[in-house]
Amino acid sequence: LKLESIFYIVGGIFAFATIIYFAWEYLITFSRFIKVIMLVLVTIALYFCARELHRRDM
Amino acid sequence: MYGFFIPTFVALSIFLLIVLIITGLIAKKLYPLMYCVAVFSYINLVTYWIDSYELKRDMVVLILAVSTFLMILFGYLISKRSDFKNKKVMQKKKKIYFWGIVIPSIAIVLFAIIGMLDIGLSIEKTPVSYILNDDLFYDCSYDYAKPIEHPSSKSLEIMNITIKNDFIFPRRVSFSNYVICSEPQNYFGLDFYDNEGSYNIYGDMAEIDAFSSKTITLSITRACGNENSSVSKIYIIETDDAQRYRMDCRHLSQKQKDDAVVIEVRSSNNVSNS
Repeated sequence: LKLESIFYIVGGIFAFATIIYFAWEYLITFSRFIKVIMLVLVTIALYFCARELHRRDM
Repeated sequence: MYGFFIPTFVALSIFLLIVLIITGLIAKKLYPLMYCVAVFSYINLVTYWIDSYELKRDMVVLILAVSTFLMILFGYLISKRSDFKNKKVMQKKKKIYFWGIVIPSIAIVLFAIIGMLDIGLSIEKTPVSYILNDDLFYDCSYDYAKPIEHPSSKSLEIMNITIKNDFIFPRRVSFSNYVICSEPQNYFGLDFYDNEGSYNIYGDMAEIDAFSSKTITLSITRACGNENSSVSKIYIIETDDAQRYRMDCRHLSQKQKDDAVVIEVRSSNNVSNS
């Protein structure tokens, strides 16, 4: 295990915790319109993420 | 509020988990999993959109037809693997993929911040100037055998709450918790409603469209009483969820009284004399 990997893993855990906490506390307060827009953006980002991984053959 | 979105989401999540495990074991690559997650996100978008906006059948058919076209198009694009061998095309695509991830991610954060801020939101409370003491009580000797409406169910409007949204996006506003106290203390019920129906007073939300307003009426349900029952003032006290259970109407502090919306209660005689 490389030293930098520890920081990446902890960073990943924090990112995951941020998303979960954000979804739990704030998502319910957003209007339907904002939620639909955010879902569209998440889908686009995930698709391009998949394309990039595909390009790298990962 | 949500009809089929939540059950669909749960069922899809379980299905996705199984698909991810199987795909991960077979492919031993990350990108097929990411494609699965992207498709999962898209299906959630479609179900949420149809369900939350309660779309009509024409719109549902249109969304399903567009989804069919999109999925076939993406399937075709993904099948063109020869692109990945062309270095020039790859350099161009690398940039497109990079910005395709970065721009939506930044936009998500911006929308999240916009959603959290209360820009252009104003709440105006308009209480009635007074209410009649006789309207606050009903005769306790109500005969339950009679097939008429129970007198306590007749509510009395005491305050209009107008929520105005002067922003380009619709907003969801959660209602404050209110506690009704009176002087001397009596137990009155509380109700929230507008022209669309009633709300749960504790923690319910209303959606206000862009550049529009919504008026919600706060009313109290009458208490059981007799000819000697009387109160002189009604306090409408705004609280948070934790305080609601600790509110002691018999020992209100001066600050609570000052912050409260106070409604004068008049006897019928006073009103006829004045």
